[in-house]
Amino acid sequence: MRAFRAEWVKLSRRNLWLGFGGAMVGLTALFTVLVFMSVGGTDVGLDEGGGEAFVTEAALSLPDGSMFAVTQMAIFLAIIALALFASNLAGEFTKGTIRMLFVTEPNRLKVLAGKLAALCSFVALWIAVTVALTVAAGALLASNAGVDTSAWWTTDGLAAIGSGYLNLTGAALVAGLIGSALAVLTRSAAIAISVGAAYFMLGESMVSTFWSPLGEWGPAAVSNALATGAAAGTSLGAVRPDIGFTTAALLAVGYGLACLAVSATTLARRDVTS
Amino acid sequence: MLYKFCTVYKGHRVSAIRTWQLTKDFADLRAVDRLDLDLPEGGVTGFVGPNGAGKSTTIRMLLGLIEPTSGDGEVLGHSIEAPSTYLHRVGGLIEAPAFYPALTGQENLRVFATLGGYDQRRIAEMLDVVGLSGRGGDKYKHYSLGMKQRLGIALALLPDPDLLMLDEPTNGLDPQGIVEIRSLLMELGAGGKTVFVSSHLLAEIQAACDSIVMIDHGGVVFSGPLTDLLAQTSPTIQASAENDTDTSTLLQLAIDAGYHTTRVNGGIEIQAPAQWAPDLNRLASAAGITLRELRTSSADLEQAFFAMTGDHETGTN
Repeated sequence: MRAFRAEWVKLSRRNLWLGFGGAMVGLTALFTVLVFMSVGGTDVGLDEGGGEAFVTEAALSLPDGSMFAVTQMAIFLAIIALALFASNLAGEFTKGTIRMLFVTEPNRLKVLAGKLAALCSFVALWIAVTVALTVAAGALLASNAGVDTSAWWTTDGLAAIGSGYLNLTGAALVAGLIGSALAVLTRSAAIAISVGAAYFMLGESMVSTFWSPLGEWGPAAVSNALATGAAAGTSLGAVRPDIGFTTAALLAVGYGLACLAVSATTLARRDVTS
Repeated sequence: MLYKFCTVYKGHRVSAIRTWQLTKDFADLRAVDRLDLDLPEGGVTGFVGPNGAGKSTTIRMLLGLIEPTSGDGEVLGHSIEAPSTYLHRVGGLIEAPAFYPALTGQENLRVFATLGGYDQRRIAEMLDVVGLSGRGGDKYKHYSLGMKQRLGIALALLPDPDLLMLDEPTNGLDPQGIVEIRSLLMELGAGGKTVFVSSHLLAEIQAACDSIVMIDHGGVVFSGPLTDLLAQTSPTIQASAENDTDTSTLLQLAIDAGYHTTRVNGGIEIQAPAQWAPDLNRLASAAGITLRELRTSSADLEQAFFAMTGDHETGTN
């Protein structure tokens, strides 16, 4: 708990909120506006379904229509979480603060648990803000796009917002935990972020063309499947989910635990020489 | 050569730090080699040695940051295998201070005070103690090297520790800052706290410390009261003749008197007590030599350091 509160002292700084919040708000606004501007249009044929309407008034008028725009951001939310976790943990090594953290709290697992819990709560908080913003912005833009939002505020609609939020948060946290494991292993924010982001955006898709199971079971595919609730809609740049929601959720938990184990084992055993 | 020194309290040995054959290998490099230490509680103990002698590695092992390859140790009576049993009573500064650049000095201390469960009111007190009370609200990235060092010392003092382990605490400080920190360490030592401080500024160590541990190539070459070390180191007499051609005769006079003597910068240096200087003056006069210079030097830590570590590059010979 002390490690959690100590991490929040760092996470509470104004510039972080301005920078991180600004990026999240900007990204949310961009995606929401793009989605509502593209209502009735057609996609550019990135997949075999080219020529059909990418976003329709009918789809956005469904109870889960409010979450459509934010779901398209899933891959970006995941990469932002990965970068945040990786830079935070690797930064402790590059700045040398890790040694003072461990002198102050010798139980390294408590330090790791507190940091990760704080980072998870930070990400969860900002995804909540993002979801709130995208729903609010969608409601404002809906009338111009001819979208009926009455179903958004029904019980089903609110449940869709809740489950969509949990799915997005879970997907982002899986990526974040992968980022933290990469950071602990490499002790370099630049390497951890570039390796993690490249894998999520391109690496897994490229490798899955040679080894197809990776496109279904790999971390990026699982994160994407979880974020979309294993529905047909896909995030930009990610592969189409080919696994069910329960499988995706179980795999996400598995990846998360594996990353936690790697981070904890490495951190607990390694000499602190930085 | 290990001179053990310890305080005795009610029949029990009270040591702040003890190690037995403490060893650390990094691949093929032996950083610390079978180190035996026994430091008393209270007072200021200097930890000196050439670069790469193993000082920082030793301090890191005592602080639980590095696992020894072999050997054992105790800090404040607890095994170094369980750092959580004693680190709440220890303040540490390891090499360069490390903080979060985007946070202010005060916020940085708050992070660690929160993590350690320390009294938050001590943040302002410690900033005041190290002379940063007016700058606690400035971002760490805007601090000078000396200010960063002061903040590191403030962090070490934050838990109100019984034992302070400071690695090069005066790095980057201006002369006034060095004097202030020296006074602070002496005050803490006199107040019953144990201060274990490494520094390459030997004059500072000599001025501030009661005891000294000197290591070289990972092993202890001296451990004991500073006065004992200085007593082992010979004082010197420097003399030079008015006429350079008399230097050889002057040299022979000192050698004949049984003292180790060497030529230094146009004169001679004799390892002899200061009391022999008048005798030398008389011998030179009897031999028809007029001395241009005759001065004595008492033993100091620098001299002892070079004698003990065998580093003659800047030594007296």
